[in-house]
Amino acid sequence: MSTKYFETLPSKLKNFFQKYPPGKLRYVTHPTSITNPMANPFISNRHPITNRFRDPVYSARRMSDIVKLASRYGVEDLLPTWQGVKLFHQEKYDKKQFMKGVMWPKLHKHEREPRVMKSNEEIDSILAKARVARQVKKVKKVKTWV
Amino acid sequence: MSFNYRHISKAGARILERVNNPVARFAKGKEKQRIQSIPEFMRPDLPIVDEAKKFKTEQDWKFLPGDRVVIVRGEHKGNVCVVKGRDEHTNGYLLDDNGPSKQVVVPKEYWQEGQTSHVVAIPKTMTQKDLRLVADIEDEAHPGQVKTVAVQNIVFKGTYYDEDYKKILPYRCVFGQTDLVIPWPRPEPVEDGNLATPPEVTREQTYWVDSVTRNSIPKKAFLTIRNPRSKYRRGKITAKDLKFLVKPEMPLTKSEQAALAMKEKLGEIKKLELTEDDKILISERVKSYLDKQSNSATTA
Repeated sequence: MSTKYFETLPSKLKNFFQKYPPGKLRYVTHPTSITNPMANPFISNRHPITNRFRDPVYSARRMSDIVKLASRYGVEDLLPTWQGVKLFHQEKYDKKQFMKGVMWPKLHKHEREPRVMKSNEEIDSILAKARVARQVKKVKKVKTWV
Repeated sequence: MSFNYRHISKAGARILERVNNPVARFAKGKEKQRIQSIPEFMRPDLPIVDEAKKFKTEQDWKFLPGDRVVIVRGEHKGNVCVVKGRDEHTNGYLLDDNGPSKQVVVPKEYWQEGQTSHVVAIPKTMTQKDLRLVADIEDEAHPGQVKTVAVQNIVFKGTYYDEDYKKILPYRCVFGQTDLVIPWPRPEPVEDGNLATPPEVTREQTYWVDSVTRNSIPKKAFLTIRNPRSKYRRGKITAKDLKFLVKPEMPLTKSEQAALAMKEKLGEIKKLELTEDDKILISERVKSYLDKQSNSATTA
């Protein structure tokens, strides 16, 4: 078996395998010391002296990119483990939980959305009405009780 | 007793601050109080104007000291006076004896030379809108003679350099007849001081360059005009200067030492290498996955 298929992989994925090769040993699944060669690059690990957490070597966005590429070539299980569930495309949309306000928004449709003029005739009729209303002079109330 | 005790205590600071920067609703009253506290012979007749509304240019003032003006409003209406000065705080004009004046009592400390009484008459300042410029123009009915007229309004058109004022001034024209220019009054001549140099002497060229290549100053004369050992000369930094300029090397703190040790330790860690077997494993997996996909596509 040649390494032809490996060479044809996208450079992003290939570079990742160069740095974190899939060997017989597995990368640890829990936080460990950053000096540990088997430390997982997708999760935060501890500094041995200060005992403080360091950010993961690969951020959530970069990890997502690599997992997505690996899933396209069926080599997902050769990557170090990651936290949570990674879903892509339609699968992600299908499992999405919509918010209540999005599913059942308040008010009626005609109350929510601005009124759209259907035709020029409609606009003309409104303007004509307004014109008539302007022409009608307001009659002052006569004080009949005085 | 001095009010400046702020270096000792902060007590009353709020009230002291309010004296200079009063609250908007008290500002008017405070200003009135301030004006009333000024002795009458020093008190301005007109309200003090804001900094933004103060007259600055000749276009703003319209009349300069030396101009003749006629009073068009008030008790002295119709009097022709000469502008003697101007009050920049109130945008007011000080006129000569024909103008309005007031009698004030002046304390002896402020008496001027030749003053014999406490009570003196001092001129009242007048606003621009109460005055009109008086000018002598040619009389068209009697050629060769001049007539004195009051100008209703003035416009400014174009500029010229005035030799006496030593600056650029606008031409003062009659509104509606811009070809009729009313010249600015001549300023009072200023006498030169004992140490003054006449302008002709300053403009006289006394040095001529004879060569482009040869320096006119002899080499030995340089020492008399320049200090070669000056500390301000560029490119000469002594050991003493260096001591001031260079930051001393501070010993590393414990945490910095630990960080450096950690960096070294991290460098020593042997990283895993991608072997040929790994590459073959990945290739196999990719091939089988792609084959499976193509098969499923053909069967479908």
